[in-house]
Amino acid sequence: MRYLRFIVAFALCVPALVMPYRLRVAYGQMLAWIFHLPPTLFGRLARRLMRELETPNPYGPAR
Amino acid sequence: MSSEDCVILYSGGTDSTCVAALLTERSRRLHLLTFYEAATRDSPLPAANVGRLRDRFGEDRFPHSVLSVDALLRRLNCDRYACYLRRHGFFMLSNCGLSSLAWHVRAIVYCLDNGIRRAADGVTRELGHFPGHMDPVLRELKGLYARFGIEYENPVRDWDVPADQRLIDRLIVDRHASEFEPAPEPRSPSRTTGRYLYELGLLPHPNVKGTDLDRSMQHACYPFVLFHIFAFWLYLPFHEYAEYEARMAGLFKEKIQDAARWLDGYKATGRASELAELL
Repeated sequence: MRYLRFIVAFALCVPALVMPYRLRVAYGQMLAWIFHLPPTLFGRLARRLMRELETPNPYGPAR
Repeated sequence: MSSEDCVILYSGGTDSTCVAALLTERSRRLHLLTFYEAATRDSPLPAANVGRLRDRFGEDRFPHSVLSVDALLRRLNCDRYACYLRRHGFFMLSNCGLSSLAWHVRAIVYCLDNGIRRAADGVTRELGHFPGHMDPVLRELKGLYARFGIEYENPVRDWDVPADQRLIDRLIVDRHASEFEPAPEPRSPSRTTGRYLYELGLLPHPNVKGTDLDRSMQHACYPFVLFHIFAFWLYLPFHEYAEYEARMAGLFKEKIQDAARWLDGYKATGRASELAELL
Protein backbone atom coordinates (compact mmCIF):
# COMPACT_ATOMS: atom_id res chain seq x y z
CA MET A 1 0.00 0.00 0.00
CA ARG A 2 2.79 2.42 0.88
CA TYR A 3 4.37 1.87 -2.53
CA LEU A 4 1.08 2.66 -4.24
CA ARG A 5 0.77 5.82 -2.16
CA PHE A 6 4.37 6.69 -3.01
CA ILE A 7 3.64 6.43 -6.73
CA VAL A 8 0.50 8.58 -6.41
CA ALA A 9 2.36 11.12 -4.27
CA PHE A 10 5.27 11.21 -6.71
CA ALA A 11 2.87 11.79 -9.63
CA LEU A 12 1.16 14.63 -7.74
CA CYS A 13 4.29 16.27 -6.31
CA VAL A 14 6.64 16.31 -9.30
CA PRO A 15 4.40 18.60 -11.42
CA ALA A 16 4.06 20.95 -8.42
CA LEU A 17 7.83 21.30 -8.18
CA VAL A 18 8.16 22.53 -11.74
CA MET A 19 5.08 24.77 -11.84
CA PRO A 20 5.31 28.56 -11.65
CA TYR A 21 4.51 29.76 -8.15
CA ARG A 22 0.97 31.03 -8.79
CA LEU A 23 0.02 27.88 -10.65
CA ARG A 24 1.39 25.78 -7.80
CA VAL A 25 -0.78 27.68 -5.33
CA ALA A 26 -3.86 27.04 -7.49
CA TYR A 27 -2.87 23.39 -7.94
CA GLY A 28 -2.60 22.97 -4.15
CA GLN A 29 -6.03 24.54 -3.70
CA MET A 30 -7.51 22.20 -6.30
CA LEU A 31 -5.98 19.14 -4.59
CA ALA A 32 -7.25 20.39 -1.22
CA TRP A 33 -10.78 20.70 -2.63
CA ILE A 34 -10.67 17.17 -4.04
CA PHE A 35 -9.16 15.60 -0.89
CA HIS A 36 -11.61 17.37 1.40
CA LEU A 37 -14.63 16.48 -0.69
CA PRO A 38 -15.38 13.06 0.93
CA PRO A 39 -15.27 14.32 4.55
CA THR A 40 -17.17 17.45 3.55
CA LEU A 41 -19.94 15.41 1.94
CA PHE A 42 -19.97 12.99 4.86
CA GLY A 43 -20.29 15.94 7.26
CA ARG A 44 -23.24 17.28 5.31
CA LEU A 45 -24.90 13.88 5.34
CA ALA A 46 -24.26 13.52 9.09
CA ARG A 47 -25.74 16.95 9.79
CA ARG A 48 -28.81 16.15 7.76
CA LEU A 49 -29.30 12.80 9.47
CA MET A 50 -28.88 14.34 12.92
CA ARG A 51 -31.32 17.10 12.06
CA GLU A 52 -33.92 14.65 10.77
CA LEU A 53 -33.44 12.36 13.78
CA GLU A 54 -33.53 15.42 16.08
CA THR A 55 -30.17 14.41 17.56
CA PRO A 56 -28.08 17.24 19.07
CA ASN A 57 -24.88 17.92 17.15
CA PRO A 58 -22.04 17.82 19.72
CA TYR A 59 -19.74 19.72 17.35
CA GLY A 60 -22.24 22.34 16.24
CA PRO A 61 -22.42 26.00 17.18
CA ALA A 62 -24.56 25.33 20.25
CA ARG A 63 -21.71 23.53 21.96
CA MET B 1 6.14 52.85 22.04
CA SER B 2 6.41 51.17 25.43
CA SER B 3 9.03 48.52 26.04
CA GLU B 4 6.21 46.51 27.57
CA ASP B 5 4.58 46.12 24.19
CA CYS B 6 4.59 42.66 22.65
CA VAL B 7 3.78 41.32 19.20
CA ILE B 8 1.73 38.14 18.91
CA LEU B 9 1.49 36.13 15.69
CA TYR B 10 -2.25 35.68 15.86
CA SER B 11 -4.49 33.34 13.88
CA GLY B 12 -7.40 33.77 16.30
CA GLY B 13 -7.41 30.10 17.24
CA THR B 14 -7.38 28.73 20.76
CA ASP B 15 -3.60 28.64 21.16
CA SER B 16 -2.72 32.15 19.97
CA THR B 17 -5.72 33.61 21.84
CA CYS B 18 -4.50 31.87 24.99
CA VAL B 19 -1.04 33.40 24.50
CA ALA B 20 -2.62 36.85 24.11
CA ALA B 21 -4.58 36.37 27.33
CA LEU B 22 -1.57 34.97 29.22
CA LEU B 23 0.71 37.83 28.26
CA THR B 24 -1.69 40.47 29.55
CA GLU B 25 -0.01 39.77 32.90
CA ARG B 26 3.32 41.07 31.56
CA SER B 27 2.51 43.45 28.70
CA ARG B 28 0.35 46.52 28.59
CA ARG B 29 -0.28 46.38 24.84
CA LEU B 30 -0.33 43.24 22.75
CA HIS B 31 -0.12 43.81 19.02
CA LEU B 32 -2.03 41.00 17.32
CA LEU B 33 -0.75 40.31 13.80
CA THR B 34 -2.80 38.15 11.44
CA PHE B 35 -1.25 37.23 8.09
CA TYR B 36 -2.73 36.18 4.79
CA GLU B 37 -1.48 35.02 1.43
CA ALA B 38 -3.10 34.26 -1.93
CA ALA B 39 -4.32 30.85 -0.76
CA THR B 40 -5.85 32.09 2.51
CA ARG B 41 -7.14 35.54 1.65
CA ASP B 42 -10.78 34.34 1.75
CA SER B 43 -10.45 32.72 5.16
CA PRO B 44 -12.42 34.39 7.99
CA LEU B 45 -10.55 36.98 10.05
CA PRO B 46 -10.38 36.41 13.80
CA ALA B 47 -12.52 39.41 14.70
CA ALA B 48 -14.64 37.48 17.22
CA ASN B 49 -11.76 36.50 19.47
CA VAL B 50 -10.13 39.92 19.20
CA GLY B 51 -13.47 41.31 20.44
CA ARG B 52 -13.57 38.78 23.30
CA LEU B 53 -10.04 39.74 24.38
CA ARG B 54 -10.87 43.45 24.28
CA ASP B 55 -14.08 42.92 26.25
CA ARG B 56 -12.25 40.91 28.90
CA PHE B 57 -9.00 42.88 29.26
CA GLY B 58 -9.59 46.37 27.87
CA GLU B 59 -10.46 47.95 24.55
CA ASP B 60 -7.08 49.61 23.95
CA ARG B 61 -4.80 46.70 24.83
CA PHE B 62 -5.07 44.69 21.60
CA PRO B 63 -4.29 46.62 18.41
CA HIS B 64 -5.00 44.17 15.59
CA SER B 65 -3.36 44.31 12.15
CA VAL B 66 -4.08 42.10 9.15
CA LEU B 67 -1.00 41.95 6.93
CA SER B 68 -0.34 40.41 3.54
CA VAL B 69 2.74 38.22 3.23
CA ASP B 70 1.94 37.17 -0.32
CA ALA B 71 4.83 38.91 -2.11
CA LEU B 72 7.25 37.97 0.64
CA LEU B 73 6.15 34.34 0.54
CA ARG B 74 6.47 34.24 -3.20
CA ARG B 75 10.01 35.55 -2.88
CA LEU B 76 10.84 32.99 -0.18
CA ASN B 77 9.54 30.25 -2.48
CA CYS B 78 11.15 31.41 -5.70
CA ASP B 79 14.46 32.95 -4.66
CA ARG B 80 17.26 30.86 -6.25
CA TYR B 81 14.67 28.15 -6.79
CA ALA B 82 16.74 25.89 -9.05
CA CYS B 83 19.60 25.95 -6.57
CA TYR B 84 17.31 25.13 -3.64
CA LEU B 85 15.49 22.46 -5.65
CA ARG B 86 18.74 20.72 -6.46
CA ARG B 87 19.77 20.61 -2.80
CA HIS B 88 16.43 20.01 -1.10
CA GLY B 89 14.23 18.33 -3.71
CA PHE B 90 10.67 17.61 -2.56
CA PHE B 91 11.27 19.49 0.69
CA MET B 92 10.67 22.61 -1.41
CA LEU B 93 6.97 21.71 -1.16
CA SER B 94 7.06 22.71 2.53
CA ASN B 95 4.96 25.75 1.82
CA CYS B 96 3.49 25.80 5.32
CA GLY B 97 6.95 26.30 6.81
CA LEU B 98 7.73 29.03 4.28
CA SER B 99 4.42 30.72 5.13
CA SER B 100 5.28 30.75 8.81
CA LEU B 101 8.77 32.06 8.02
CA ALA B 102 7.13 34.88 6.03
CA TRP B 103 4.99 35.72 9.10
CA HIS B 104 8.09 35.88 11.29
CA VAL B 105 9.92 38.14 8.84
CA ARG B 106 6.88 40.42 8.66
CA ALA B 107 6.55 40.38 12.46
CA ILE B 108 10.21 41.40 12.85
CA VAL B 109 9.64 44.28 10.42
CA TYR B 110 6.62 45.33 12.50
CA CYS B 111 8.75 45.18 15.67
CA LEU B 112 11.53 47.25 14.05
CA ASP B 113 9.03 49.82 12.76
CA ASN B 114 7.37 50.17 16.16
CA GLY B 115 10.30 49.71 18.54
CA ILE B 116 8.91 46.50 20.05
CA ARG B 117 11.36 44.07 21.69
CA ARG B 118 9.18 41.05 22.38
CA ALA B 119 7.25 38.63 20.20
CA ALA B 120 5.35 35.42 20.90
CA ASP B 121 3.16 32.85 19.20
CA GLY B 122 0.93 29.89 20.08
CA VAL B 123 3.09 27.01 18.85
CA THR B 124 2.40 23.80 20.81
CA ARG B 125 3.77 20.26 20.43
CA GLU B 126 0.95 19.36 18.04
CA LEU B 127 1.67 18.66 14.39
CA GLY B 128 5.38 18.02 14.80
CA HIS B 129 5.83 17.43 11.09
CA PHE B 130 5.30 21.14 10.35
CA PRO B 131 8.67 22.90 10.04
CA GLY B 132 7.52 25.78 12.21
CA HIS B 133 6.72 23.33 15.03
CA MET B 134 10.16 21.69 15.10
CA ASP B 135 12.61 22.51 17.90
CA PRO B 136 15.64 23.05 15.57
CA VAL B 137 13.64 25.47 13.40
CA LEU B 138 12.30 27.30 16.45
CA ARG B 139 15.87 27.70 17.72
CA GLU B 140 16.88 29.26 14.39
CA LEU B 141 13.87 31.58 14.54
CA LYS B 142 14.78 32.65 18.08
CA GLY B 143 18.25 33.48 16.74
CA LEU B 144 16.72 35.49 13.89
CA TYR B 145 14.67 37.57 16.31
CA ALA B 146 17.64 37.96 18.68
CA ARG B 147 19.76 39.33 15.81
CA PHE B 148 17.39 42.32 15.78
CA GLY B 149 17.19 42.68 19.56
CA ILE B 150 13.82 40.95 19.87
CA GLU B 151 12.99 38.18 22.33
CA TYR B 152 10.79 35.51 20.73
CA GLU B 153 8.97 33.03 22.95
CA ASN B 154 6.45 30.19 22.74
CA PRO B 155 4.54 30.42 26.03
CA VAL B 156 2.24 27.42 25.47
CA ARG B 157 4.81 25.17 23.77
CA ASP B 158 4.59 22.49 26.47
CA TRP B 159 0.97 22.81 27.42
CA ASP B 160 -1.22 19.73 27.12
CA VAL B 161 -3.21 19.00 24.01
CA PRO B 162 -6.69 17.53 24.52
CA ALA B 163 -6.62 13.79 23.95
CA ASP B 164 -9.49 13.85 21.47
CA GLN B 165 -7.69 16.54 19.47
CA ARG B 166 -4.66 14.28 19.22
CA LEU B 167 -6.93 11.52 17.94
CA ILE B 168 -8.47 13.81 15.32
CA ASP B 169 -5.01 14.99 14.26
CA ARG B 170 -3.89 11.42 13.79
CA LEU B 171 -6.95 10.44 11.81
CA ILE B 172 -7.00 13.41 9.49
CA VAL B 173 -3.62 15.01 9.07
CA ASP B 174 -1.07 13.54 11.41
CA ARG B 175 -1.25 9.78 11.19
CA HIS B 176 2.39 9.55 12.18
CA ALA B 177 1.91 11.50 15.38
CA SER B 178 2.75 8.54 17.56
CA GLU B 179 6.07 8.11 15.77
CA PHE B 180 7.17 11.66 16.46
CA GLU B 181 8.66 12.96 19.64
CA PRO B 182 6.56 11.84 22.60
CA ALA B 183 4.18 14.41 23.95
CA PRO B 184 5.12 15.49 27.47
CA GLU B 185 3.26 13.76 30.26
CA PRO B 186 0.30 15.86 31.35
CA ARG B 187 1.27 17.86 34.42
CA SER B 188 -2.35 18.58 35.05
CA PRO B 189 -5.36 17.40 33.08
CA SER B 190 -6.60 20.98 32.95
CA ARG B 191 -3.49 22.65 31.49
CA THR B 192 -4.77 23.16 27.97
CA THR B 193 -5.13 26.43 26.09
CA GLY B 194 -8.85 25.79 25.60
CA ARG B 195 -9.46 25.21 29.31
CA TYR B 196 -7.53 28.36 30.21
CA LEU B 197 -9.76 30.43 27.89
CA TYR B 198 -12.87 28.65 29.15
CA GLU B 199 -11.98 29.49 32.75
CA LEU B 200 -11.46 33.12 31.77
CA GLY B 201 -14.94 33.11 30.26
CA LEU B 202 -13.62 33.65 26.74
CA LEU B 203 -14.84 30.35 25.28
CA PRO B 204 -18.07 28.42 25.87
CA HIS B 205 -16.34 25.04 26.21
CA PRO B 206 -12.84 23.83 27.25
CA ASN B 207 -12.28 22.21 23.86
CA VAL B 208 -13.77 23.87 20.80
CA LYS B 209 -11.13 22.66 18.35
CA GLY B 210 -12.68 21.28 15.20
CA THR B 211 -16.12 22.76 15.91
CA ASP B 212 -18.08 25.24 13.82
CA LEU B 213 -17.18 27.88 16.38
CA ASP B 214 -13.47 27.13 15.93
CA ARG B 215 -13.71 27.33 12.16
CA SER B 216 -15.57 30.63 12.33
CA MET B 217 -13.12 32.28 14.73
CA GLN B 218 -9.79 31.11 13.29
CA HIS B 219 -8.04 32.38 10.22
CA ALA B 220 -6.65 29.54 8.05
CA CYS B 221 -2.89 29.64 8.42
CA TYR B 222 -1.74 28.04 5.17
CA PRO B 223 -2.65 25.44 2.58
CA PHE B 224 -1.04 22.12 3.47
CA VAL B 225 -2.56 19.28 1.43
CA LEU B 226 0.30 19.16 -1.06
CA PHE B 227 2.80 19.28 1.79
CA HIS B 228 1.00 16.41 3.56
CA ILE B 229 1.05 14.32 0.40
CA PHE B 230 4.81 14.80 0.27
CA ALA B 231 5.35 14.23 4.00
CA PHE B 232 2.99 11.33 4.70
CA TRP B 233 2.89 9.45 1.42
CA LEU B 234 6.20 10.16 -0.20
CA TYR B 235 8.84 10.70 2.48
CA LEU B 236 7.94 9.52 5.98
CA PRO B 237 6.89 5.95 5.05
CA PHE B 238 10.48 5.33 3.92
CA HIS B 239 12.53 7.46 6.34
CA GLU B 240 12.88 7.99 10.06
CA TYR B 241 11.36 11.11 11.57
CA ALA B 242 14.82 12.21 12.80
CA GLU B 243 16.10 12.26 9.22
CA TYR B 244 13.00 14.15 8.08
CA GLU B 245 13.48 16.72 10.83
CA ALA B 246 17.18 17.12 10.08
CA ARG B 247 16.60 17.69 6.37
CA MET B 248 13.77 20.11 7.06
CA ALA B 249 15.89 21.99 9.58
CA GLY B 250 18.67 22.20 6.96
CA LEU B 251 16.34 23.80 4.43
CA PHE B 252 14.94 26.27 6.92
CA LYS B 253 18.34 27.19 8.29
CA GLU B 254 19.27 28.37 4.79
CA LYS B 255 15.95 30.16 4.27
CA ILE B 256 16.28 31.88 7.65
CA GLN B 257 19.79 33.03 6.68
CA ASP B 258 18.31 34.53 3.49
CA ALA B 259 15.65 36.26 5.56
CA ALA B 260 18.28 37.59 7.96
CA ARG B 261 20.13 39.26 5.06
CA TRP B 262 16.93 40.87 3.80
CA LEU B 263 16.13 42.10 7.30
CA ASP B 264 19.67 43.48 7.70
CA GLY B 265 19.03 45.49 4.54
CA TYR B 266 15.70 46.68 5.88
CA LYS B 267 17.24 47.74 9.17
CA ALA B 268 20.02 49.61 7.36
CA THR B 269 18.04 51.34 4.61
CA GLY B 270 14.37 51.03 5.63
CA ARG B 271 11.88 51.74 2.88
CA ALA B 272 14.65 51.84 0.27
CA SER B 273 15.54 48.21 0.91
CA GLU B 274 14.78 45.19 -1.23
CA LEU B 275 12.60 43.73 1.49
CA ALA B 276 10.44 46.85 1.74
CA GLU B 277 9.25 46.27 -1.82
CA LEU B 278 7.79 42.93 -0.71
CA LEU B 279 5.77 44.29 2.21
